[in-house]
Amino acid sequence: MSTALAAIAPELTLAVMALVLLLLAAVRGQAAARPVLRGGAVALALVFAVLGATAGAPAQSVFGDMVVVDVFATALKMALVLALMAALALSAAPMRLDNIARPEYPIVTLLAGVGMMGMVSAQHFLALYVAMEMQALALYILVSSGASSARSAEAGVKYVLLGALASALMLFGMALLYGATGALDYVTIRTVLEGVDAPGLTVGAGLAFLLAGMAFKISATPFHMWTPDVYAGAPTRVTTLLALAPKIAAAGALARLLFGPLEPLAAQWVPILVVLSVASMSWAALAGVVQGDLKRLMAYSTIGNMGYMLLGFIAGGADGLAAALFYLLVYVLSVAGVFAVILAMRRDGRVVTEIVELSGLARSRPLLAAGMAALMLSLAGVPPLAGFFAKFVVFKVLIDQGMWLLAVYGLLTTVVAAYYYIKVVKVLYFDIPAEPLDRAPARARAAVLAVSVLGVVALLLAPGLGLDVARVAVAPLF
Amino acid sequence: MEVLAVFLPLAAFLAVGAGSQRGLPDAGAAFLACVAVLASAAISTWLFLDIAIGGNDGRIVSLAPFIEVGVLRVDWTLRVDALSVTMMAVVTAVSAAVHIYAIGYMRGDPGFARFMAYLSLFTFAMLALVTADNLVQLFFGWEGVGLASYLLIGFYNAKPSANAAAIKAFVMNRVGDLGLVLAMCWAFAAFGTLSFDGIFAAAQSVPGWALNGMALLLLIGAAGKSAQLGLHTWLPDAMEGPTPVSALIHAATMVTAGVFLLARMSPLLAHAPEALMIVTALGAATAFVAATIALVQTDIKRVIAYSTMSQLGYMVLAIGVGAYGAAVFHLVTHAFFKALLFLGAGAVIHAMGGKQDMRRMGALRGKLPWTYALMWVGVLALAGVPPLAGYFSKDAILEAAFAGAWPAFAVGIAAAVMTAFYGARVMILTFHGSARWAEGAHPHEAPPVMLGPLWFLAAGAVVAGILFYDVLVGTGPNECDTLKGHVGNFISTGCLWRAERFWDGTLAQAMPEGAHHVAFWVKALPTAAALLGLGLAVWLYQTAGARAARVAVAAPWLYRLFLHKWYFDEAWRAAFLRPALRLGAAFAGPGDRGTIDRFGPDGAAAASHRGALSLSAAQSGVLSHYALTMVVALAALLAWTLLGG
Repeated sequence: MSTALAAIAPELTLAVMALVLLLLAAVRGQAAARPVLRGGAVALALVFAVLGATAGAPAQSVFGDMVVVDVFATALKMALVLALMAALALSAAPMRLDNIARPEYPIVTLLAGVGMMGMVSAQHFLALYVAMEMQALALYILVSSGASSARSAEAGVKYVLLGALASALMLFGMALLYGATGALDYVTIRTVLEGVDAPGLTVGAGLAFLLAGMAFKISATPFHMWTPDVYAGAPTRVTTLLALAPKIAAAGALARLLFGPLEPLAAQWVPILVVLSVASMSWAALAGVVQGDLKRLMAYSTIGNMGYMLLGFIAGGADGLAAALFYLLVYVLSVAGVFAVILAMRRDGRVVTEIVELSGLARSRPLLAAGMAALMLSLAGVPPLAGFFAKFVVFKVLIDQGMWLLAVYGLLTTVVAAYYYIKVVKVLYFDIPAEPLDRAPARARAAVLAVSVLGVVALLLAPGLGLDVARVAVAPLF
Repeated sequence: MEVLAVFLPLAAFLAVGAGSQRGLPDAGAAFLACVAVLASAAISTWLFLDIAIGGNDGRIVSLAPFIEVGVLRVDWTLRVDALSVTMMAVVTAVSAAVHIYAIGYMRGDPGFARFMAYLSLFTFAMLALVTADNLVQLFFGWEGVGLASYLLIGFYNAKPSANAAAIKAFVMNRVGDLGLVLAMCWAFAAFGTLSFDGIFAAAQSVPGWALNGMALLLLIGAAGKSAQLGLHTWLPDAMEGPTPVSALIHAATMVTAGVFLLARMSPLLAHAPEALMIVTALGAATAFVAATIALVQTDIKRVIAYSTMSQLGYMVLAIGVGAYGAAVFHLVTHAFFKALLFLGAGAVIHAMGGKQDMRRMGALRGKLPWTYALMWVGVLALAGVPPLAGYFSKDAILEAAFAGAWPAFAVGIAAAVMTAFYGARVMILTFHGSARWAEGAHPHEAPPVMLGPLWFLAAGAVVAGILFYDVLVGTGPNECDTLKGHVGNFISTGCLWRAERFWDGTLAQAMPEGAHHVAFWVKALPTAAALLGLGLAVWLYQTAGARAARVAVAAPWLYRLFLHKWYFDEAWRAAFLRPALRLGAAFAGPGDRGTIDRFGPDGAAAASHRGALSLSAAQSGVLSHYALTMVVALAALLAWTLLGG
């Protein structure tokens, strides 16, 4: 038992810290907001240290093979923790400026984090479902936490109801697979499915339901409809969190499913992923073109980027998954910086999110504009920025697998999508300057932006490094 | 030494050009540019005496590697041999005269320093061209000359006609450049090298048709720069530049480039007899047609411009009949008397306050006595009256033509009559007769700074022929002994001063063998033609042009043909310009905008936008729509998995 507890020490640490901070909040009330935020950051730093210390440990399965702790899990958890830290850091300034500092926000974020970390370690349908629900419930709360905002509440309701639908689909899929294989744990399911020549109706249906639920989690078209509304309606600091952490968790869980128990069904799920990926890339590229709101635009950006990431899954194998993971990490890195810029957009104390509000920002805030431009160009896939390398490796693994038609289609959609990224650059540099944005010092936000921009630019120096790390991380799955 | 000679003008260009942006006073700009080009001229003259006259060996100075790609290896080099030092001496001498003259002519012009800088650049480019040891560096100078001429012709860049003329000169030259580039490509493919020595050494290993092809492409290149018939239309328009520029272009730094190219490539051309026949024909036609046009022009500079074209025709004709030495000889003498005529015309124009129409001149003899006298020297030299420079060189060409191709000789004699005629006509209309000046004209003699160069050039126009006849085109070995005591043989050492010895192998031959054995009447005919032309002009124009007018009325169609320059501009416009514009309009309108843009970028963009709008509409914000979408999508997935799988 003690080895089991030691294996999940990061999750435990986070959960215990969340409870301690909850106690603090209960005692001190609203005044505890800032200490709790700092405590949350400290907790995450601590977890990161623990993860780092155990990163080299051999893989082990605990709790009756429900939870697995391997390099893949540890690597994704470290990425998750960094994403959560970025989200918390970015939330400090808006909570102070909007006078809505509440201790619950960091605590719920930490609890969502526990769920997400559970997702990437789950090796059992029940463990996966519980972890997923844990992060989902926490996120429902956060989405609707906008103070007296009808849009936030509406977004929350949509997210809850559609999330519940997705959750139900997924649970039904699990049940069908359980019915077909008689097992809930990944290892047994895989063994059983490997023994079957042609998967029956039950297995096929279970796979479809399961993938529909997962597609909802990663915002893949046509299960993406919630994304623009929720991204736009939620408070921006929550949108930041939504765009960063849950995608890592969902992608990790999906990878464990597809390359674990469902591996024998690859012939069935590859076409499904192709449809999801093509639909996501096309829909995001087209619908993004007419968006005027930066948060909505980022929602479509997420959808499209998840489509490109799925290309790595489709290519399959360690190389394909490593490419997908690398793509995911570059995406998270870039998007963190973009949201740092969005959170800096205030005029006369009001939050603004329209793209036109950035008009001529290069005049009044040259550094901020240059950072945003670099991030947008990276997202558009312009060499030599990180986004280019990410797209390059994904397309390369596809072509290596002979799926060049899909790669060509992906390239075409990047051309369309480049329009809206580069339009932002054009607005920044060539449009008639709008009123300058408020200057609110926010060191944490500046730090996030700096890390993001520098990372996106500096990957040029060692383009192979990120991919090498990803290769190491995905090794346990194969 | 040769490095200094070539690069001093470049240094002057850089210094004066940079200074012109930073308030360098005009006097400083003039001083820098003139000193540089004078020093260059002094060194060039010394090199000429040392290598060409003194008979010391030429040399190839390697400066730096230029291009190294695969088997193509090209270096920056200065080739200093008899041909290049002759060219250098002429170019720098004329250029120095023009530089000094420009001090007076351009005085007070707001772009004075810029003008001086361009003149120096022009000189440098020409020097780089003539000292090239390979076709690539020659092309560098060739294009440099084109650039400088563009800048100078369009010097008055506020004037639309000057800009049009500059563009025309550049574009017409590009046509020729294409020929040269193709010739270079072919030469590289055939010989594997672009250095002159390498090409000449291998010339006979290549089939005759290839050599003929290369020679014709070189001819196209030369025709562009040297204004041969067909590609000549830029030359008269280039009169839009300030007059010193005209002098420089016509005498030293531009139009001679084509003739130089053909002379330089003569060891190759000598093996392409068929192409040489075309060269001869083109040269003769150019000489004749240009002379006819010059008969009837009324703009003083245009007459001289067509005269240049006609004389260039003679030079090309000389190349065609294998009289390479005579071609370069005429180039040298022509440089002096043509620069003299242009600068004299500049003095007249200066005196008339910028007017160039000879119908508004007349009776200037008393007002500009020195200019008058010096220009007569130029005209007589041009006409080929002995013992002036033009007599010797034109004579040599016509003798060679007689020996080589008698029709070319006949055409040349006809052109010689006309040359003398239009030369005298310019003098009579400008300086004699009654004053027909425009209101408010106060003609005055040019200042000494402008007259000085005229004196120098006039001296050259008088003695260049006598001095260099024997040196450049002198007798073949058979006549060695009879040469002693010839006036040109000023350092008599038997056969040592034969032309072949002078050229030292840089030309295929100085003169064709037959040219030395022509009958006396052949030698005398050009002089007779010149005197006939002069006499005709005096006779026709002595009564205030009344006789000339009657001639024009008597043959109106001929008059119109000449006046409209044989309708070359119109023909080109109809044959190339209009179809090209129509084609361009077709490609741009229905082609590019209507097809490529419409179905390409614009069409894709519009389709994307429409798609985006319809997808946005799908994002209704209504919760049940979203849920329905998910369920329908799932149903589709299910159907596909279950039926397909």
